[in-house]
Amino acid sequence: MRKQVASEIRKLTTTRSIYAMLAGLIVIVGLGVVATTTDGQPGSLLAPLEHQVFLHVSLTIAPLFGLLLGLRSFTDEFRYGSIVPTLLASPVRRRVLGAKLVATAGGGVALSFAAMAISIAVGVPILVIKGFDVAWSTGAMAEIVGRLVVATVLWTAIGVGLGLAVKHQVAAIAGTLVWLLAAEGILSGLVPDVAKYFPGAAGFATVGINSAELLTPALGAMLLGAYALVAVTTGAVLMQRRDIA
Amino acid sequence: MGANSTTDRPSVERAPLGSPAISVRGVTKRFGSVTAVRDLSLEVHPGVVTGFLGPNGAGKSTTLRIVLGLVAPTEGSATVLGLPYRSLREPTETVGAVLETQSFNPLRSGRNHLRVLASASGIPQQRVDEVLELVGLEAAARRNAGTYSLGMRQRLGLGAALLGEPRILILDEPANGLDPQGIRWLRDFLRGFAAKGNAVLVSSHVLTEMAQLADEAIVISRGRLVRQAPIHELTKDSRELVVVTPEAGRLAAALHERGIAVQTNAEGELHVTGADAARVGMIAFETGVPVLGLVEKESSLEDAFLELTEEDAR
Repeated sequence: MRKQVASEIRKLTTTRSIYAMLAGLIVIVGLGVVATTTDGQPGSLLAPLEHQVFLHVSLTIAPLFGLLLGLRSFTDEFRYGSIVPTLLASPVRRRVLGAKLVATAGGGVALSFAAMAISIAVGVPILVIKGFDVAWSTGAMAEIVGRLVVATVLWTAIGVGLGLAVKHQVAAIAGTLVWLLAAEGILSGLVPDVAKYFPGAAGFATVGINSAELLTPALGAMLLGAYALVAVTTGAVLMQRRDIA
Repeated sequence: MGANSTTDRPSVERAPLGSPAISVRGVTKRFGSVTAVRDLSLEVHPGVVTGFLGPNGAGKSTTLRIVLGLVAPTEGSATVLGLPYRSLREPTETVGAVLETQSFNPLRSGRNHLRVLASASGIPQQRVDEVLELVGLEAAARRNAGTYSLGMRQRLGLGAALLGEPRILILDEPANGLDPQGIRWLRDFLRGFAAKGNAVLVSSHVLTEMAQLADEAIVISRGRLVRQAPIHELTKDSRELVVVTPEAGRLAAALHERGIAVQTNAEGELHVTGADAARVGMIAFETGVPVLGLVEKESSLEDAFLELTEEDAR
């Protein structure tokens, strides 16, 4: 599978779209941090860095971008027909799937670090300019970054699996976004008891946002991992039988 | 593989002498209620160019995709050098295939497209530049493939197929979008490739190209094998004689009696199939009919093909 991973990493780095995604992430996170630090509620800005609300921007946005990266991994290939040369070079399909999981996981790690770095690069100077003392616990910060990486990587795997299962790019991305941004919220109102087990809620639990109503980060990560396993297995089973015509 | 891989690379899967490069046995493929291929068996041998002929929708592309492991047959099996494609250890070094023109990310350069595929097969990156030169794409190599003309896309596809220096080439309608020079180049290339003992399977519905390119012909229609034969036999069988005689009726009757097919055209000339000039001349002599003209018309592959596939439709 080593060769397939090399090929997938090369795929990721040889079109502009990954760089466009990184640029988009940086802009959105940067603006989000500015908005949350200048919203006229200085109370929370007194907290140590690991409790700053502006970190929630990257904790929300990086997993979402990881999900998009994963969703595009197979759907790009189906959309452009490049799945044909890909499978001619690597006819054992589960190897292609494995390589895509590894390569997009790497992309997810990069997105997580980029989001965190830009949050701190924008947020800390704003705190300093506003005259707040910046204090932090290295351990707590490392834990936050670790949770973000785990969540983002699991979301890329969910994206890879869903993209493989659905095949159609627009359908896969639109369907996922509709679920996360609308359907899950509506259903949560109808069945509040199970709401914390929904994928989006599991994702928030993993990164430790709104932890009062949600599962603990560890349980959230396990549940998110289970969703990833289901998505990838579904994709793999469908892929194994699918005719590439 | 060493850096200098063009000549002395370790042999990949090597078939025993005389065994087919590609073998399709009893393959049937149904897509829902549509049967694309019915109980099809065929063999492709090394050293010759085999034309895979049939009208659009005959099942050519499906068959090629079954050979390449992209489509699973409903029944039967297809092998390359004795193994299913998915079991080949070095698929790109065994088979190179060009299936369609648009099979790359348009935002990736042609060179990077080939580098991605080279990585997947463990082929050294310098081979990419060799291939780009071979197919004449060096100048456009760093441009996004989405900006390529149809002919350039075909060349990129061919470049991808040649990356692994395969011993078998499979091309689905490769002449689409190529200009006359490109078609001539492709013809020379494929003939040279086959002459080195490699196998070539080329599908086409444009038969005139095939007459100059292929040695063997496999004709399918509506998913069934119609004929597998050397291409010259295909044209010979439908050879036609045009006979000019003032007593067309008598000669036609005499030929008809002997089971030879005759048709009369608007000018009163006879079109005779299924007999050569000597036989027809002799029959005319025996019948006492003067023959003013006797022209042997070798029908084009197009005619032979139409005849074969029409027969099937009946």
